[in-house]
Amino acid sequence: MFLENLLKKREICINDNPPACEASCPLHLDVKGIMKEVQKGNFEEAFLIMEKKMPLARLVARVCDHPCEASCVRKNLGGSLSISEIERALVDYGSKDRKKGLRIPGARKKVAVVGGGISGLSCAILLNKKAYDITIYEKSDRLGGGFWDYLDKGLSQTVLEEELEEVKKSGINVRLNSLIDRTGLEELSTIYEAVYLGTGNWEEELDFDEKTLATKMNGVFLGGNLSLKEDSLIMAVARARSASISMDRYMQGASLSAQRDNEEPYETKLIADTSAAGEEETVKPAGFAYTKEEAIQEASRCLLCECGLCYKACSHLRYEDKMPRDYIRSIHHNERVILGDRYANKPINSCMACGLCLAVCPTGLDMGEIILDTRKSMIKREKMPPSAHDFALKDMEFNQSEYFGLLKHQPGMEESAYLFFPGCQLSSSYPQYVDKSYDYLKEKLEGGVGLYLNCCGAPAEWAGREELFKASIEKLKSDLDSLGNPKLILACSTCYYIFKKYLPDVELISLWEIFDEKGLPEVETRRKPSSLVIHDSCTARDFAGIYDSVRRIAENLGYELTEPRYSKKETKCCGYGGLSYFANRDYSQFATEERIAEHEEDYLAYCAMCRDLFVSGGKRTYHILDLIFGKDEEDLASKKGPSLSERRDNRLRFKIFMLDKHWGEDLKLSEEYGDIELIVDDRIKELMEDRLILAADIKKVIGQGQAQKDYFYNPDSQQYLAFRRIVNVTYWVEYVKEDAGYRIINIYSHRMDVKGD
Amino acid sequence: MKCVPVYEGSIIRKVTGSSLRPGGFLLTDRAMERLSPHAGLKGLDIGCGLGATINHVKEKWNLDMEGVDQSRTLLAQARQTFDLNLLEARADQLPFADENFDFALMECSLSLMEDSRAVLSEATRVLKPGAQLFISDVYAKNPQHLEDFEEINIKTCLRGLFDLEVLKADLEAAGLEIIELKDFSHLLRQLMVDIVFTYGSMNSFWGRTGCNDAQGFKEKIKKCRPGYFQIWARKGEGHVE
Amino acid sequence: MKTDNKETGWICGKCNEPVEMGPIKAMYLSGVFDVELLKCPKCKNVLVPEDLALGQMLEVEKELEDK
Repeated sequence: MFLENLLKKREICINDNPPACEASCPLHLDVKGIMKEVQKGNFEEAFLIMEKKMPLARLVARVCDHPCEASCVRKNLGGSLSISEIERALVDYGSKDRKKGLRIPGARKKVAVVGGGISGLSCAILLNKKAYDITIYEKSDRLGGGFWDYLDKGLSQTVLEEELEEVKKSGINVRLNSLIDRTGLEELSTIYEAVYLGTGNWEEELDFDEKTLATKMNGVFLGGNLSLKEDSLIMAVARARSASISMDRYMQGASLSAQRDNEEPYETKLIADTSAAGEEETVKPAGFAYTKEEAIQEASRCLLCECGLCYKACSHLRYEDKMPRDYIRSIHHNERVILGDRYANKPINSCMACGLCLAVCPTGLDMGEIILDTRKSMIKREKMPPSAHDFALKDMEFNQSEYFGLLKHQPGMEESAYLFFPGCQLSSSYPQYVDKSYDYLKEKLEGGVGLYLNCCGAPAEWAGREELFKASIEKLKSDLDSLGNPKLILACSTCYYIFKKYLPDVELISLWEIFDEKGLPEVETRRKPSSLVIHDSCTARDFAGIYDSVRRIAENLGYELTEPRYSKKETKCCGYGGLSYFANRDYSQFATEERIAEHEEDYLAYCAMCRDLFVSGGKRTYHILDLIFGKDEEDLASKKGPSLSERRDNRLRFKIFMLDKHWGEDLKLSEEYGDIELIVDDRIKELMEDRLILAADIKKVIGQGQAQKDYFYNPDSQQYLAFRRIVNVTYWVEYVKEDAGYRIINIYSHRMDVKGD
Repeated sequence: MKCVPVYEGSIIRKVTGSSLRPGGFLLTDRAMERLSPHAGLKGLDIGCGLGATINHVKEKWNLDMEGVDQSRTLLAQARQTFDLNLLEARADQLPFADENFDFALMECSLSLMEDSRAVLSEATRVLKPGAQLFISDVYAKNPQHLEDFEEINIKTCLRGLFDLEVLKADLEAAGLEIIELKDFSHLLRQLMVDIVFTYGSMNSFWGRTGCNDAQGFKEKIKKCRPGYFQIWARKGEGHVE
Repeated sequence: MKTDNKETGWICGKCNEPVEMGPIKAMYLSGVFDVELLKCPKCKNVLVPEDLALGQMLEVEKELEDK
């Protein structure tokens, strides 16, 4: 099911479709390829590209009636590309060398071509290349037909005669002064394997198949103007080509009609990105035709049509250098072959699931959804490396446990019209603001504002853990039910996104909308409003209520906001989304750096993780709550966010604090061996962040290690090396005992379990 | 291209010992148990290498076996290590009469041979009617990824990963009936663990063998998902014409 | 893996015995493997030094995750 859907979704991407010019060209010339070469001044290469699809290129290019130009996307952007003028320039500057085609030896099937004009010559040349023995029957005394009419329209007689000579030299037999009538045609159809009728006129109306150009007579095909309602030189050539394809298949015994789609001109599915187009207008030749420089100048106007909007916007696609169609194909391949390929795992776990690709895609391809589905599939097939998301999931477990979880009515009340859900990251980074916000909400809202501390389950969704996520959402729902389904006040956009998506019946409102509606609290501060770049959280992109109210709050406080290039619905993720911060730290940093490099000024964010990540990357960033509540005793925009261990500690301390302050409850809960004193220097602090080892874990190891003597001791250095397996990871801590506590020398861990035999 | 036979070097021996294969003599003993050997039973080790198997069978099962190998290097070492006189010969041209042996062993050797069908044909020829053949070797769990390893200069059994369906068909075509086919991939995993713990990493191991593209080889192998198997087969009762 | 002198300076905290190389069982993702590592000869507690944990063990974990 997942695999079939994958391939269906792949078709949503239109990037592989040809540009409008190629699709509308009856010969489907690779115009983009030609323009690329001309841009570099490579006229010869460009001519070869043209000659590939165009028989008698030196003639046809001069006189083509260019339907392609009408479909060029620059029509209204300075004017269509002068494709036909450039093609003439190719003949002028790029057609010098004439390669001698080798005649393939061996017996050849015989084909007759009736009519030595434009379409007859085209068909003859194309079939000659496919090793058929061609005889042209021309009623007049010369080949060329309609080409001769163009001598006064730019076609040189010398060139025409040269090309016609080449036709004869290439081994095609020519019978001039040979008029073929109906009887003659019937005769030819018995002598030759196949016959092409390209006379432009015929004594009677002939019935023929529009797709294959086959007539009712066996082996007789027609093309050129005979097959067209309106005469068109280039269409005549295209029809000759179609007929030659049919004839070739007919003579090989293959199906005439299989896979003949898009042979005719058609409208492409490609939606080209025209955002880079300037105002430059179509270059007009100073003389009769383009000089080399003029041709290059005009070719430089070509946008080399492609879509690629997602690639341009998304740092993950650029980091992996993958376009969506290739990406989906490799996912399909890996899943089908049941490969747990580490080389594929990392990219899958790097996507930030931020929704930007979907937001910019003109046809609605959601790579993020595909990637999250892939993670789910990997979990089901037990191919997800546990190390990718383990830490984040353990963190979520902590947040849903008694160490942080809290659900209470407003103190002194028996019911809640509202329930404040600040989220786990805000409570880690800014517990003091959460407290102040709660006081504010109780003051401004009627009916009781309860408090709900928990994790919304986003880490489980991002990790592809369907069962775990389902259980989490069900618990959240039952908790809300137990409180009478109050209106949920959310301070985190990700929580908002999760609730909106999975519990759509719950009434939601963001904290920012309430601040905006009810007015900001009076806070004395010395900070003067400045100009800030507003960074929208990726999970807020579909919620104008959130991002508009944040802007109004900032503006009401006197701040001038600059919109980044990717903002609101098209905002970029800070680097935390989708758990990429844990699964691929290098890439996550790349994403953070890309975002903060966009502007010189200070940033404003309304998500704790966005703010903390930007600051860790060296960008001064305010949280919107800094502007609302911050007193500026210190420089809030450069204050570093808490470490992983501090985040954990903050959450537990916050719960204890809130229970005491608001409900007068004394929570006697501490982490195991929480009293142990650790002496930790900067080097160890960095190791803790890099290796995802918390202070709480270190204390647990030392505490139990000392108690049960699960340690090794080096009497020379007086160092201890304690160990302890916690769930699925064994932690090791090297330390020395000091009066003030345990001085940590080293910390590391491994997942493999070892047991002495 | 200088071909580097991994099995001739000391690199692998450090990890596997003289058996030069995953599992040591575990599968050898398993084969012998199924034979229920008695004195006088004639056995042949095809691709006998250092002669470690023959030596083991002599010591543990009290049977003298004959052995052939194409590697002069290994045979010379066998002479010194175990004092065994083994024959230098190709497995597809065995220097024995028809219907000569009661059983034959091919332990991690068939995968090293150019033409496994010819080898199986020869093995069947020298076996008596009703005789047993034991093959243990590497196979690909994802045979659709078995591509040409032409560009890589390494000679190791992993290069000859079997597509089990193809191998089963070849055995039948040679006149051999398959009694049992069992997966022993954990032996291969144990070998991987041993290699990593000895040499630090798989890349480091392949690099030391003199392989010209360790990373590329490793990736191609990975795609095939190598496993290890043992087949117990029996020659049909009918006599050869 | 050759042990260096730093490792052999360790004594088991429970038994006061110096650690020695010995057979141990390593387990990951339902695979059980025989390996030789430093351990206490008495209580069999295993000592895993940092370079082993972050080197060979991590490598084996990743190889097994791929299978």
